[in-house]
Amino acid sequence: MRVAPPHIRKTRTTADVMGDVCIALIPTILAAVWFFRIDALLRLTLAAVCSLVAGRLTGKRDGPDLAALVSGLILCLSCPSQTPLWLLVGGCFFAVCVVRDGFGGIGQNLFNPAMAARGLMLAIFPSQLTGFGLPGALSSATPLVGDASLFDLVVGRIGGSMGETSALIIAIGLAWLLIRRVIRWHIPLLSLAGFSLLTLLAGEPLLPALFSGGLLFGAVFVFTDYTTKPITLAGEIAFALAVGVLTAVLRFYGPYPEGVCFAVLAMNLVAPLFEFLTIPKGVSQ
Amino acid sequence: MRLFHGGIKLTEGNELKERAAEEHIHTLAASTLYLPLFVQKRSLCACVAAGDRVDIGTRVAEDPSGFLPPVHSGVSGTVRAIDTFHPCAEGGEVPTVVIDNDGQGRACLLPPLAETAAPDAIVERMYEAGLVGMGGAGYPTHRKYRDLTAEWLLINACECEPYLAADASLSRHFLTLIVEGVHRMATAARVAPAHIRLCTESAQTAAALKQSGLSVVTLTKRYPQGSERQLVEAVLDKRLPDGVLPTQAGVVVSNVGTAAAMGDAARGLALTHRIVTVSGYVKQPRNLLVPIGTPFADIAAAVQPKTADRRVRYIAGGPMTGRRLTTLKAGLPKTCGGLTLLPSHSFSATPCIRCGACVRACPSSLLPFLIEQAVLQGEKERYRPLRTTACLSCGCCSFVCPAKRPLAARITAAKRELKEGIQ
Repeated sequence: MRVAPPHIRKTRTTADVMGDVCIALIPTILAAVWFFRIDALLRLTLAAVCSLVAGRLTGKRDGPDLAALVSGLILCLSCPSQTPLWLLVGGCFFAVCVVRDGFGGIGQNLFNPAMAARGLMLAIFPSQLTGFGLPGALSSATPLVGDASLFDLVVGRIGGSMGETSALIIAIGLAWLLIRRVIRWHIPLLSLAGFSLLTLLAGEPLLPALFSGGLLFGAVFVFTDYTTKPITLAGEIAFALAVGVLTAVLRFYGPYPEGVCFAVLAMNLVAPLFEFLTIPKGVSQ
Repeated sequence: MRLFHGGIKLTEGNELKERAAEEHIHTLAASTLYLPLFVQKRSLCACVAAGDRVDIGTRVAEDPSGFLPPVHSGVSGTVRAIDTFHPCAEGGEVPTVVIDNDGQGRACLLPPLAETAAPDAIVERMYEAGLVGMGGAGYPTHRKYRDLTAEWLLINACECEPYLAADASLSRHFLTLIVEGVHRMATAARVAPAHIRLCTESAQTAAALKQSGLSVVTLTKRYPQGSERQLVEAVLDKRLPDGVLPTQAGVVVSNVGTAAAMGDAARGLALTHRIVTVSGYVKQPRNLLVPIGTPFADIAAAVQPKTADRRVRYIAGGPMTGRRLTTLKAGLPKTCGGLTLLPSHSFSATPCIRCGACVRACPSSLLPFLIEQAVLQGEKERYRPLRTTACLSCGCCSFVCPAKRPLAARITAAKRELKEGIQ
């Protein structure tokens, strides 16, 4: 294999790709620290350290495991600012060591590690994970209700999980991922389209629904996870529309205020089927 | 813009390619030629014995099955020996005819082909003159044109490999020869002159080709534009189904180098020389007109590596599909249009992250990562449903892979396994 062509390669490596995702998360991280101060700083640092340690334990041995870091940061950003530290630590180790590496390591896992950990945490400790903090204020019951104006929703002056408050900040991360060609536009756009469609059908106001909750964060950072989405273009389109619709269904009719986490986990299970059904058949004779 | 599915944009080597295209063509006199008796996995019979005197154009070896055309000597001189084990550019050590050049340049010519030669006579001449596809695949030209009635003739001057400029320099310096060859090929394939297209990626080459009066198509610079299926797709907007050859779809594609060799053949010269670009990690790229069979060491001696202290790899052909040479003793095959020097470099593979870059790059719309997975898991029954035989071995998947996995190499191995299973 050493002598086999091609003899030149593109310079970008897996570490570069993961590095780009980390860079795309920086605006969201800074916003979280700005809005939630020491609470966010402490939890993000803890999640970063834990996921890197977890990655070293079960995953990549040479150099920092940036993929694990991405999982840890996404998990942390999708949790409220008052999440107990022990729960976060457990979540990080569960995401990396069990959900990712327990199922064959990077590129092999069935579920998105961050969302699987988030889902389990929410299912076992619902009370610890539903106390959302308003920035600079006391906890409110949920970020998805209340009288926040649309402007507040866009710039992030709303309660919610740490990374899910500001649509503008998330859009900066999206722009970086698109410019660096880490992801394509199909999944973010089409998942929002699927969500919007069902929101309108359900008769809910569209814009507040779009800009609240974890939908935008999910559309940019979670639905686009390479490993747990179909790889074919047709499969991606079907996956994106379905995950958008399911998010809306769960949000409006499900038991939890939020829909992204369980919608992703359900669609992760269907992604291999979508991929299988959309394998290109080649040009017909 | 005219385009094909998939493919990649290559930036490396473009500047050197332009420089090489502008270079003059230097001739290189080889003191000894090495002509292997094992070509494209077929054994040839030597027509000469040790001690025989040969001229330029003397038939040295032929294929008893008649599939491959004969091989001719590119120098006048004496057969030194038939070496049983000599390194071969296609790999391994094979029986090889070794000819010493006496420097006198005697040539033996075939009778010139009549202006009005019929298609059969032209195809017969293709065989006699030893013509094979000069673009790299080396399919015997007489087999391609035998009993052929095509609608289109595409002459491929794209040269999609980075660094190489043999097609470009040929187009700029040997246009009349090319035009003569193109007309003969059109006659052989019964293609109307209005359905001939000269295809290139470079504006300067297009300008040179336009002086011929034939229609010229300028295509987007994208790899692998020089692959014939991609050329048909881009020029005629016709995507060929898996397993269907261009000739079966009424299109015959030949390399501009083959056209020039056809022009020579019509004048009575067998295919004994070709243009080779020596480029890559060098101070100044060169285009050399060399006798076929010249050892790579002589060709490499024509250039200086950029720095002497760094170890270089020698690639027969271009960096995307060329073969790495473990020794420079092997003789130049008819199909090899370049010698690329690259600095030593190793790629270590990491796990696939399913980013999909290979899927988007594949010009045949394959799922390279899945075929590689099937190869690694030994699931041979999955090769065919994944359309492994449609792989072009262009190397796009390996090139773009961020995990640096040897996708193309593994898929090519799987494809070979399937093809050998059929035979």
